[in-house]
Amino acid sequence: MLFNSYEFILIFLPVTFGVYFYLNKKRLTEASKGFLVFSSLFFYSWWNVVYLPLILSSILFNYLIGKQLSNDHHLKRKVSRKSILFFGVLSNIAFLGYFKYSDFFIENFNHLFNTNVGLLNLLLPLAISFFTFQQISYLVDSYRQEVHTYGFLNYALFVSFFPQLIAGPIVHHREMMPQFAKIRNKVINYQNISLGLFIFSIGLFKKVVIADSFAVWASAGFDTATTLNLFAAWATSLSYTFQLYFDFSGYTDMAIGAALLFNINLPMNFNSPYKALNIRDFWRRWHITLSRFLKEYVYIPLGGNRKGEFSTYNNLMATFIIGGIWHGAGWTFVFWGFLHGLAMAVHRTWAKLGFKMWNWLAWLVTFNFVNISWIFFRAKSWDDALKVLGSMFSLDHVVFPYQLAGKLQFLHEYGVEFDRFLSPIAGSNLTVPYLLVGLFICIVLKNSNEFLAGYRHSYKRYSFSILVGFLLFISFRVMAISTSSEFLYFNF
Amino acid sequence: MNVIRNILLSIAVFYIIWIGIVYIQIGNPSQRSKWLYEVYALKEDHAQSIHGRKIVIVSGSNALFGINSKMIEDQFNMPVVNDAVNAGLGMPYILYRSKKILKKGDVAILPLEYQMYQKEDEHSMTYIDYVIARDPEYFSTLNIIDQLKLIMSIGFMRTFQGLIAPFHQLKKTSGIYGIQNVNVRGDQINTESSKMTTRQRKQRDAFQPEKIKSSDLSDEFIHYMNDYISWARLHCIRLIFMPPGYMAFDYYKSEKYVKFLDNIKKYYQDANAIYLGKPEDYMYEKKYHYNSVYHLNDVGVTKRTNQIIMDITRQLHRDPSLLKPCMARTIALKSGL
Repeated sequence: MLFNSYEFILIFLPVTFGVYFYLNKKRLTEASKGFLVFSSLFFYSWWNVVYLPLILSSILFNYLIGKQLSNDHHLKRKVSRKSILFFGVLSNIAFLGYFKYSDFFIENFNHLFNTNVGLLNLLLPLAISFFTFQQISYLVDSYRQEVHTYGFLNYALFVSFFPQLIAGPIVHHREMMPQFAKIRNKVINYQNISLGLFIFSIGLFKKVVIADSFAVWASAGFDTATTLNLFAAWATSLSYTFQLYFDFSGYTDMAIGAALLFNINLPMNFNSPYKALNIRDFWRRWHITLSRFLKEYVYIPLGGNRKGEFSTYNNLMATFIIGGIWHGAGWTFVFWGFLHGLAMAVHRTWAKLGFKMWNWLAWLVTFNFVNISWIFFRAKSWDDALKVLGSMFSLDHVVFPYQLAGKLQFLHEYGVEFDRFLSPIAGSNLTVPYLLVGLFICIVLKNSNEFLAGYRHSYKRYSFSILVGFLLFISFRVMAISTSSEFLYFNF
Repeated sequence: MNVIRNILLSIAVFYIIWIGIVYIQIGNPSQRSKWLYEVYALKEDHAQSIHGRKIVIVSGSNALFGINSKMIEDQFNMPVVNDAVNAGLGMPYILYRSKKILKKGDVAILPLEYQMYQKEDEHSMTYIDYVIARDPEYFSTLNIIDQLKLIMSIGFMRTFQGLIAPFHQLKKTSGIYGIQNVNVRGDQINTESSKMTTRQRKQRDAFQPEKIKSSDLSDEFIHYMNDYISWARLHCIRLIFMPPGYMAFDYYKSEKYVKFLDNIKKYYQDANAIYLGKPEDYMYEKKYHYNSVYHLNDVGVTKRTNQIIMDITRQLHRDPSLLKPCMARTIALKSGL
């Protein structure tokens, strides 16, 4: 079930909300949790019920391993805690690897050794990367004795809670369970409902009004167009850059908003990433909970910056390459991770040498680096990536709008053509204004968390209700004339 | 609680305002619908000028861009009106328009686009724009639910354009689509193969087959076509269904597609309607096409019209009454009406 579908907004969410709080009102707290787990699994199964046993086995397995790692069982254990942790983490990685990376490895094996091993053609279970990472962090936290056990139902709720199940934010057990346990959170809170609806409406608007508009041009440029001219190539890459941000941050806003209805605060996942002035700053603002996971469970365990400069650079690179491959089984993802690791290394050196840059130039460099590196993230193949990238930096095929033909006639001599310059990406008169508006929203306006903070004490104003009503109305109108599209991060 | 009530109230108010904005602009002409409106007017004027029996071609643009009406007229000694305009208007609307010009004793040839057989209850932008801008009468015939559905399908940009329409002078139609390129019988002209540019040929050669999700006909098609066939019988109008002119691809030989084509034929057989011609005879190589998989160039038009004449002539040998005035009472009795 998609957040941006009528069945979710008008049926699933109100029914789940109503029954959950009704059961709590009747003091059936365990039943209310059970109902929330059931609803979340129903929400998950809506796509493909075949994968329900997979997520259930994963939850059960990790719960049992976590229990073994917990303090209570410390004395009874014959196998060392470290071995149990190793087994647990390795099993999760194997589970993820089997479904996500088998065919990638087989393809490369076949290529390297000239063999013909058949592909498994497994369909990627939805959300597998997210719930696996979340549970790995649980196991490590259990090993570190940073978690308290709350019983199987609580654990199942921690993993399956529908607002964050499919694409995060990736949460810690310790930040979720106390919230579910809190008595005050079991009563309807109208402030939370109002603010939850507000942030949900912003997310819905970002997804259906903004991201899905950019999706048309990005898809045409990457997937359909056989050749691109200079401007069409830039419009393609920028469209994807904005699509990805509005799509994923829109999803996160909707997740935060939906969770808030149940009095649960999910962590912030985006903080205006395209305002970043360097790559390190970018990763503090983009997919914050993934960055936090990679830092706490990959970079620091590898040694972080504690083992000398060379090792630090290696650790940075390894962390980002793992981050890259987590997103997808393909060399383009590996290369994307490598590019970011390299950029982090360059930034570290730059900062250590004490070099400075004007803020506007720092922003321009960072934004363009991120924009260009997304090309490898988005492209389905190297050829597609090179098609877009090559056209962005080539003057061989320059097409100007035909309206300028009269004034810039002299450019004909240099091979410049005059035509509908965005036609290769199905662009219209709206494409350029849309890109400018996208940029404006990303680098000038406040982000949704800042808006939320601003309205925390003034949500009773009429203007607040009218704004939420307007955002929902516009989103519903757009949903009525288009088919619901999946969120990009569902693929990861 | 008050905040939530106010949010819901705001949404309701926005919807009411929206519906009001759309209602007040019904009948405001739009640029997009101009060529369709003018072309329909030309065709319907021609139809009204014919006093006797006539052949009317009812379909989308595959027939506008794919039939030489004069050849049919000369062959069968009956005036022909090519009433085909654009498949985007949707089959229900195309059939509705045809009813305005079909009279007792007329023959309607319907080479419907394949999409029409599978279209479910959804509106294209062309249809929405046209009905809102040009056909308030048709809008008023819709029930309240269908009117609301149509209003809800209008995009923001179109609503804005509709609002400012009274203050804007519409531009004269230019390009290939428009009254300037349609002859008196309603056929598209100026699609000479010899005049096609390299770019046009390149674009045409890049066309791909139109894939189908299933081999079944849609409920919407069956519903509207059943009604139309009954209406034609009641009004003594002969219907001849035929395959549309289409670009040939191997995909159309696949089991799934062949089953789809068989289902079309079976539907007409079950409905006791006439379906002439083999779909494969109307699938042409790329060189016969103009600017769409459904649009033929002048060479393709001649080839296809000859095929239509051949199929009708062949049927005439089997059933000499094919183009003759029907006997209303007999047909009505036969069909149980």
